[in-house]
Amino acid sequence: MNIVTMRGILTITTTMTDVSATRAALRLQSWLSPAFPVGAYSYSHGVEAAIEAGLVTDAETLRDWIEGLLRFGSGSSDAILLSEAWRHASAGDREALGTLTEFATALIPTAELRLEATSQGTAFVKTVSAAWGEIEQVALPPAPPLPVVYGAITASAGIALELAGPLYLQAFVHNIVSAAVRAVPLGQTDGQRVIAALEVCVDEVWSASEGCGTDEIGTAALMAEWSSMQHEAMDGRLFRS
Amino acid sequence: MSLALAHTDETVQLNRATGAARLSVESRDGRSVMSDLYFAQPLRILMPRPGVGELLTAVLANLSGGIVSGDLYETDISVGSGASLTLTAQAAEKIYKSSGAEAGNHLTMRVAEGGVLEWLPQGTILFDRALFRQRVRFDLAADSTLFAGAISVLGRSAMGETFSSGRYREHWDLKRDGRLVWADRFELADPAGAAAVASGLRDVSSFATALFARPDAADDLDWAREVQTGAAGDIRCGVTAIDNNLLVMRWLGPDAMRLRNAVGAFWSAARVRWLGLPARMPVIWRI
Repeated sequence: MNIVTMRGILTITTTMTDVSATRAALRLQSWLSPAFPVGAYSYSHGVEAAIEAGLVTDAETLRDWIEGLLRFGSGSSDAILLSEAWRHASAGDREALGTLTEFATALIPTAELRLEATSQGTAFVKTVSAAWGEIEQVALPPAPPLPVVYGAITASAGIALELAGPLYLQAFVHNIVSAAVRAVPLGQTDGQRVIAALEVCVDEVWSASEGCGTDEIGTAALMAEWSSMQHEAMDGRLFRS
Repeated sequence: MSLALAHTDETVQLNRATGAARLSVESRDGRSVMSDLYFAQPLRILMPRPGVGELLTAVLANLSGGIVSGDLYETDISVGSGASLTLTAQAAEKIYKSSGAEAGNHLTMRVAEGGVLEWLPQGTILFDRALFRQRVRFDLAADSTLFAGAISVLGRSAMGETFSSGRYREHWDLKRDGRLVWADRFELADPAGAAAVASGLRDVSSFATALFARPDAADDLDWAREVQTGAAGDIRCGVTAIDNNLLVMRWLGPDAMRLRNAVGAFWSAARVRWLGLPARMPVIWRI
């Protein structure tokens, strides 16, 4: 893919080169790894409070909780947001990326979920630009949320959206399972059973998001939002969200 | 086939009700007065005499008795610099089962510098198989005050009805000095699916949202949490500080009446602290 776009008054010219499928996979494995220094391990997306409230107690209730996040919560909206960011970055449309960043941040319903998304987003930009010097930098407003950063940078790195998108959702699942394994606690194998059981759901949520724009974003995970609000008032927390 | 479809569309068009209402208030010699008022059937804006210690009060009424397929209502409220207003509704809005077209209710509320708006609607009751989109836009000056809330009831719970199919969207945007700081895109397109998962709406048949926007609103985060929790009973509730100038509160519950009581008790206390108003609900809301 060689995209050279001239657009409106902003006329930013971006040249991106597709990396090979192998190098795309290598980059994603690094960027979505728990070892990638964005602090993913320190956030539970409110699950710690759901555990405290007795709503998540074992592998099955964890699977159910995460399925709701994927289908009705931030999973489905993040899939659309990262795709839009990928498209705007591919088109070199800096103005659209700015508007998307504002909207994506406004959509995050609680203070801790904002911290989770924007501190990881900021660290992601920093780390990629420090370590992968050949990837063209993407201009984003300060404190961009992670899905927007991820979409924009994967586009800039020449990674196909069809690969980058579902793997982002899978990493989201991994991160919550990892938090729950520590906080419930659950056995490592039980954690992997949850991940395996959600494979079809990740695939379906990603497919449903394809081609959708921000107007099609809609969520109904009010209990997840409630648990994040509870988390903000919890004593003795292991996680920052 | 295409003829039948065309005919259906036409029927919907003919039955569609559109209504518009507009109210502006401004401050004159330190008093808030109405400066512009317009409404077209079936919407109406009433201006009852405010109770002792209350703000200038406007009551939104929909004389059609409920919202049906294809209806579209537009309401525009503007609070001028230094003016203040309590806006409420005459009755809960009923959204009937749809015959195919989505109904819409659009509300825009602007509050200028130093303005105060209290918005306290009765609530929205979604009948099963309703198709409804409510769009609420707040456009606030940085040093204005907004205390606004809404209650949604999924199905006529008193009759044991649940909202098991249909589509319901609440799209809210809050802008401060033109910048979008908070947006909600609630959408129930698969009500049974959302009710099946614990992180979605399991055991939630009604919910409420309240926003408190003012410079340094977040200073009252702990106060809000304490008062909210104290009045909640078995209703789940929470509050978060989106930034220094915005608190967002939610209530979720299995029973619309108990949820309404929890919201009402909180509101009663909060309007004293945040708006300097009496510790009671405006008269219309209590009826």
